[in-house]
Amino acid sequence: MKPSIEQIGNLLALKRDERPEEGYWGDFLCEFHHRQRAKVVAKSGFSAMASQFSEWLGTLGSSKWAYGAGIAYAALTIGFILAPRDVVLENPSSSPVNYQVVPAPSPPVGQLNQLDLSPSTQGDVGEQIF
Amino acid sequence: MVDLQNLRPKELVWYLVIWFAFGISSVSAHPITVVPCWQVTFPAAAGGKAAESIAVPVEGQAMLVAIVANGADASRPRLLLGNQPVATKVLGHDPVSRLEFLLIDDASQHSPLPWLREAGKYANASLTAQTSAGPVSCRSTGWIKQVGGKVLPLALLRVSFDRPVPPPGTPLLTNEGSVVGILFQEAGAGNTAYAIPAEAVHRVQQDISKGGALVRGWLGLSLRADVRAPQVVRVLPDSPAAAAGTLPGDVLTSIGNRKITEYADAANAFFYLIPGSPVRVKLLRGSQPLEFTLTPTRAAGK
Amino acid sequence: MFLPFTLLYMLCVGCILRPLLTPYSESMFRQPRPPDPDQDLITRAQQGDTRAFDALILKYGDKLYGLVYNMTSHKEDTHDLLQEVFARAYQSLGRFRGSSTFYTWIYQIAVNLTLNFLKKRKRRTTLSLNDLESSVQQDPALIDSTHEANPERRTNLNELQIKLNEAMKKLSDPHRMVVTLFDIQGMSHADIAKVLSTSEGTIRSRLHYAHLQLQSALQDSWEERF
Repeated sequence: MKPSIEQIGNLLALKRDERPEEGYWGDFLCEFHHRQRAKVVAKSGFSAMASQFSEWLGTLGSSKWAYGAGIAYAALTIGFILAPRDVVLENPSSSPVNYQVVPAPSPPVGQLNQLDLSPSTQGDVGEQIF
Repeated sequence: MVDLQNLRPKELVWYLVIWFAFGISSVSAHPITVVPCWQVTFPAAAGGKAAESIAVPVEGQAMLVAIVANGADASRPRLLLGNQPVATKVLGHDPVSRLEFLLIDDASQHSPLPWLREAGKYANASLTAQTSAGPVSCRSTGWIKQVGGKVLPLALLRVSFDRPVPPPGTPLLTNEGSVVGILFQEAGAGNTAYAIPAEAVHRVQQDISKGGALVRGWLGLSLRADVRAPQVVRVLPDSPAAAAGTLPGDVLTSIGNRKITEYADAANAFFYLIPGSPVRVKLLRGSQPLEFTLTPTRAAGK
Repeated sequence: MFLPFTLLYMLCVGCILRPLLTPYSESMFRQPRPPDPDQDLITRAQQGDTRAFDALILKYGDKLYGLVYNMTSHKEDTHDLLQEVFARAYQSLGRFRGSSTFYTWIYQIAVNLTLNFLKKRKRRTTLSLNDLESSVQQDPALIDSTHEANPERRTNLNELQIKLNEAMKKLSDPHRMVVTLFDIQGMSHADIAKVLSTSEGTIRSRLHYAHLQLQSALQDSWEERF
């Protein structure tokens, strides 16, 4: 004889209480944090950006159609705008950035006498007379 | 508004139809407007690097202000309006703020926007950067007084953008179209930049238009840069600070209308001292609040 | 460039015109959503509180473990997939805007990753049902907490569960998924529809088909006693 759908449901519902073994989640969290730290270290670089981008694409779901349509529309409009006309677009070339500026959390130790933010610049230490 | 996560094909088609219909009509109705752009190029100094900046007209005279980046030669600017070269003369350059003021002959080309007296109210506000490609929205997110463990000689505004940062010298405007400051350089962390506030431009312009160089005010007191508290270490003899009665150990709490909570605030406030202009200084001696009036003298040139 | 203003303008016009052009039943006046019970933890995690995210992992961990294990029948794969699910969720947390509850969202991530994994696994190996079966039988990962006092009944129940596991594995991935979510996880049709981004009707028909399959598969093992 066949079990009824309800009986199958009840049998399956017994599986609801299945759990991993004791202590599993403690180790899981350790490993999770370890992976996150490793990711932060590996985050720089183009390949990391590329993999992040492809992961993001994977999470899009149905909204990828909206993004795709939006990009296609933007491309069309840009093509329409850039078609030869009398109006000239002015575009100054931007000056290249010479150096990275990274704010430090530690208390200040030097006084800059000029607005020179390159990391190699040493400020005056000690007593400053104003 | 638009719920992209739950968007269905039918709704998407509606949006696209409407967008296309209005898109074509609005694009054809609005021609692209061109904003005239003052640009200045500085050649490389010895062992340095050439730099470019946007130049912004300032109020008062036929003058423009620009940023001279480190390593560039401030004495030989090449000025362009749009793509046309314009003759210019260097009125003065201040190495502390890196601001340079340029004179142009034809006053009719000079149409300055109004400048705010000071940026304070707009330190955390929505602003618009006026670039040659049109207005770009951005947001000021507070004052930066030190970078990389080094205290700046004057506090800068931090500004964040949704897109790459416009070039140095780009003016930042309030919604009413007044200049709050000009971009100094990229901060190097995700589309943020530092900007020199309007009050610093005014301070430097004041001295350069009179004598060609910034003259700092000098009080004759010292603080330690590596101590966070703004505490007077030494009072030099025969100085304005000594004359007013300041003593070592006094903790500064305000200079003029600037509140001082740490050393970096004091360093910034000292930038704005004007020789001969008295300034009210409040401080704490032990637990006793005191108030003095100090008149800075001219600082010796560095 | 005028482009951003143009797009913004059209978006606004589109949103204003849309309710006028579509039937009332499809208008934008949806039911106000009840607040997400996890909102406090989500906000704290978005602000960088790692302990808040840990709390979310512990809250949903067991259920997601059950989901993934019942789909993959492989302990190591389940562990790796769960690490990936939570890593993905942590990475995307900044973009989580609350258009669904966290519960639905994290299930969506788990379901999508699991189904993709199973597709890849099918292509990669020819794991026989026997390989998977044996790992289930000896697997200490699952603790059977049925606590049956009657030893004979427990033996019969275990046999039945083994047969049920076999039958589950014979279902296609999408069918096994709906059975796992409905019968094992106890999710409602509406929630399953949200997680799988289909209609409730599709869910019901998939469930019906899957139940019929399981019914036939258990036909010979079923005893009068039950």
